[in-house]
Amino acid sequence: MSEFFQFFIVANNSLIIHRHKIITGSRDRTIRIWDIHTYACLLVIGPPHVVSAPCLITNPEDGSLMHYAAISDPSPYISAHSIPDSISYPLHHDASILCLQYDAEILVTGSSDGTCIVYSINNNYQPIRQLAHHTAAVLDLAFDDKYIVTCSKDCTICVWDRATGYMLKQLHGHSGPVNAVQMRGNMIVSCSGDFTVKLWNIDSGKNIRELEGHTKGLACSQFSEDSRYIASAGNDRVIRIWDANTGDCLRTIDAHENLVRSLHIDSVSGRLISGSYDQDIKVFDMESGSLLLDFPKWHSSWVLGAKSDYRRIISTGQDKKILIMDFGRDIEGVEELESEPIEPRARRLSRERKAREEGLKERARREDEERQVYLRILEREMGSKLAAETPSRAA
Amino acid sequence: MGSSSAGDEEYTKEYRGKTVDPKHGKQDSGIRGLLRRASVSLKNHAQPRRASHSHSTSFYDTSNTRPSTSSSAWHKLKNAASFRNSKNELLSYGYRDQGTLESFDDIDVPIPGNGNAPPIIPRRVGGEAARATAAAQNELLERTRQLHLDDIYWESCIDCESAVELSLSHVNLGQEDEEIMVHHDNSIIRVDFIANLPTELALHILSTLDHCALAQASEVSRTWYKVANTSSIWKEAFYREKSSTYAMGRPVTPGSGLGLPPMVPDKQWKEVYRARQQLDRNWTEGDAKAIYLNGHTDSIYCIQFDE
Repeated sequence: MSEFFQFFIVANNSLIIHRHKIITGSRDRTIRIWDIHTYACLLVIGPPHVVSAPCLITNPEDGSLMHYAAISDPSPYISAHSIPDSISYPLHHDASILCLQYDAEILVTGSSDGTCIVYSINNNYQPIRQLAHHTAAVLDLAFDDKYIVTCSKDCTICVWDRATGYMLKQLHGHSGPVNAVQMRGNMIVSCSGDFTVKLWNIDSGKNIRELEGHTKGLACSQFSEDSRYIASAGNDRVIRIWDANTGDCLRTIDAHENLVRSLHIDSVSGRLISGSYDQDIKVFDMESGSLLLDFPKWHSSWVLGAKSDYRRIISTGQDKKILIMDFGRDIEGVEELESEPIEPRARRLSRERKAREEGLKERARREDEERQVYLRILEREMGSKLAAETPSRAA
Repeated sequence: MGSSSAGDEEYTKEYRGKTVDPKHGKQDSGIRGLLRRASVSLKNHAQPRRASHSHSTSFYDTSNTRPSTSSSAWHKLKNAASFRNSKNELLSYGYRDQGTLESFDDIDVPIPGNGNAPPIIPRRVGGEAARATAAAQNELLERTRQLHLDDIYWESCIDCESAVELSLSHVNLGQEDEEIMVHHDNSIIRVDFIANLPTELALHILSTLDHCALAQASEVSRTWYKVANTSSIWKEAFYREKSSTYAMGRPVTPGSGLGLPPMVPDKQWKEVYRARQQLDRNWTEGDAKAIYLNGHTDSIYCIQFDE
C-alpha cells in the first residue's frame, strides 16, 4: 500500500475531479490527464518506475519542464509549463496503452499486455478491476451502460459485464487481428486485418452482417450516434460509408495517400474526421463525401488518433505530441457555448500573456547564462592560446 | 456545416420566390399600377432604397391566393390581441363599397349581412353589436384615409423613386379581385403591429424569425430594433437553429457539452448566437489555431476529451 501512495501528491489530499479534460494513453506506458483550457498536464498514471523517474517532470539535459504547450498565435511561443501530479497503483499496465474510453464514472484502458483495467474516475483513478482473457494485445475497446466490448490481436472480440467484470461472450469469426470495435444499442461493429467489417448482435453473439469491399486490412470503423451509418477505413486508403441497416456501401472516398489510421464521426455536425499515416488530418462531409478541410503535415509523423467536438479537433501522433486544433480560440465569448461555466476569454488571455512574458524572460535568462558560460569557455581558450603564443613571441 | 448552409440556401430561396416577366410589369398603369406599387412587402418596407429583385413572401403571406381577409395573419393577430369583440367578419369585401353604414330605428333585432349587403343593426341595441359596428366604421374610414394618403405619397414618388418602381413591378397580378385583396392588405400591412401589440405578442412574433430576418427586422425602426434585440428572441432562434443534428437520432440536449449551453435566462443570447455563428464560419473556412501539448515520451495511441 505504502509503495504506491508515495508517488501520489495531491494538494489538500482532496479528491481530484477533472472537468474539461483530455485523457491520452501512450507507448510510454502512461495515461495522462490534461486540462483542455489551460493546456496543463494534471496527472500522470503509470507504472512506479516510470512515474517516479525524475525525467517525468524535468528534462535531464537542461532542467526544463517536460510538460508545456506550444502555441502559434500569432508567432510561436511556449506557455503553460506544468508539473503534473503523478500516481501509480499496484494494478497497472507495464506496456503500451493502446486504447481507452471514459464516461462520468469509469475509465477503461486496453494495453498490449493483453488486459484491460477499469478505473474509478471519481476516486483518483483507483483501479477497480482488470479484464484478462485475451491472449494478445487489446487493440480497441468500447463500452456503454451494460457491456464492455474489447477486441484483440488474437482475432477475437470479448463482451464483458460492466458492473461485475465477468466475461460474457467471446466472438470468433475474424481471421485477422481485430483492430477496432464499437457498439450502439445491441450492435457491435468490428473491423479487422482480414479486410472485412462485421456487425454482431451483442445478445445472441451472432455475426449478423459482413460489409465487404475493402481491398486491404482495416484499421478503424465507427458508428454514427444513431447507428444508421458506419464509416470504415484502413490500408487501402479509402474511406467507405455504409448503411448499417442494409449493408450497402453508400460512399467511397479516396481519402489519403497512406493507411487511414483513425476515423471519427461527429454525429451532430455530420463531419467525418480522418487521420492517416500520410500525416494528414482531413475533414469530410458525411452527406456528400466531399472534402471540407485538410490539415496536411500538422503532425510531423503518423497520425494515430483524431477526435472532434463542436469546437475542436484533437489528434495524437507518433511525434509524441497532442495537437489541439481550436476553431474557437479567437472568438469573443466562445466560452458561453460551454455547458459548464469557465474562465472568461479576457482573463484567459491576460493569464496567457503573463505566462508568455515569463517564458520569454526565462528564455532570456537562460540565453544569458549560456552566453556567460560560452564567454568563460572562450576566455579560457583564449587564455591558453595566449599562453601558448606568448613564449613563441618571446622567442 | 452542411446542414446549416443548406438552411441558408433555403432561406434565400424563400425570398426569391417570385420572379415575373418584366414586360408585364411595364404595362402597368392607372389604378392597377398604383395598387401594385402600393403593395409594398415588408422586406421592401424595411429597406426601401435597395433595388431589390425579390419579393418577400415568407414574413407575411401576401400571396395572391389568399382566400379572404379573415384568414390573414393580421386578422388572427387582432383576434388574439382582442382589440375588438369578435365581429371582425363584418369587414368582408363587399362591405367596403357600401359607403357609410346606416342604422335603422324601426327594427329591434340586428339582421346579419348577406352577400355584399351590410348587416343591419338597430340603433337601440346597445353593447357588443353596436360597438362592433362603430368600430368597423371607424376602421373603414381610417383605411380610406390611409389609402388616400398612400396614393398621394406614391404619386409624388413615382418619378424620383425608380428603384422602388423597379422592385414593385415584379408583383404579378392577374385578376381584378386579387388587386382588391392586395389593396386591402396594403392598408393592414402599414400598421406597425410590433409597436402596437402588447410586448409579449410582439416578442412571440419575432421569435419565429431566424437570425438574418432578425437582423433585417431590427433595421426597421427604433421600436423594432428594441424588440428584435431582446435576449429571449435570440435564445429562441439559437436553440431552434443550432440544435439540429446530422445523425444523432435526436436534437442536441442543451448543457450536454455539444455546443448548446444550458438554458439560463441571464445570458446575452445575441452574443451567444454571434459566437456560435463565428465558430461555424471558422469551421467552414478551416480557421483553426494549433496548440501542441508536449509531455509524452513516446507515440500516443489513444485519446478522448470533453469540453
